[in-house]
Amino acid sequence: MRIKHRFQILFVIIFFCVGAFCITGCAMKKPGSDNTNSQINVFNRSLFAAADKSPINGVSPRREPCISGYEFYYDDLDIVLSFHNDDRIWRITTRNKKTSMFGIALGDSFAQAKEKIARLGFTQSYTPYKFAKDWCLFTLLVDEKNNVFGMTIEVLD
Amino acid sequence: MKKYLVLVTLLSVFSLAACAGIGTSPKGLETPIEKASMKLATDVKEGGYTLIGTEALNKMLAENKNLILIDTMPKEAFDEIRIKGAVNSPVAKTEKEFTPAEKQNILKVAGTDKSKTIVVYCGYTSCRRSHLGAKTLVENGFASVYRYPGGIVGWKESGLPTEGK
Repeated sequence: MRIKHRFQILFVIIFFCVGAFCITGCAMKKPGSDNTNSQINVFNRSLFAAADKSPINGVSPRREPCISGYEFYYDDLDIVLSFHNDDRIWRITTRNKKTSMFGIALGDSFAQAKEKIARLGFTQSYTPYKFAKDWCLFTLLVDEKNNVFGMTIEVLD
Repeated sequence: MKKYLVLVTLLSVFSLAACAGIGTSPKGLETPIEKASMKLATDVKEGGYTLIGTEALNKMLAENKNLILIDTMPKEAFDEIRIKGAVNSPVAKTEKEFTPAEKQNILKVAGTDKSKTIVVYCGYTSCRRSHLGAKTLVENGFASVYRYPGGIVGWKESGLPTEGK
């Protein structure tokens, strides 16, 4: 009887631990998000990661409001991280030449970038410069010479 | 003695409650309001456009059927919610991200009649998409350009008509 009671307590504890894990961590991620994040090379920042105010390469963030949360501007690095009110990253914007996304680097031609992103299964969506795949929206910032000067990856609601 | 204690406690609670409502917004948060106001004042001076508030815009929309109302939010946000009758021309949040294609598009949306009244808006007061859009129009010779700083958040908060999904 006592053993059965202990098992019941253990079951309740495990149930709550799994629940808490799902609520705080895995439930916030989307299918395939680890694969997507592995292709984002922006100072080790990734989608769904928790807000981290620590400086990146010595640059501290400047916080600004956003329509659905807030943003960290790392002005000297030309990167912006956007957070929902759950303090998780939902959008990453970069104009930093040391960064890349999906193998696309700044300076690539729009045609090259489009080809690379299409090969990964993204399709043009909303505007000629936006590409969607499942929950993910990728935007290319293109200059007057039709070269990529920035990129944004974001989670679609 | 007990009566005095109750009275003092009640007065303290009422005083604190009253203090919580002091400031520009009943919710407080004076610091971000001041920050947004300062930026708005600087932007208006730099942009050369005119500001328009919620009530005035509502009146203008009712009276002036000929104006162009431009929503500068991203297409996906515009599809979700917009002021009734608005057209979309997405603009970046910062000067550095503002692409030539976005500039060309807002000029195309504004049309060729440069005397036409154009109102540009985005999300909320500290959002600068509408500033960049309105500034571009002024720089390109449009004579009657307004920026509605309250944006879709202010419009919705006022209970005015919106459309979208």
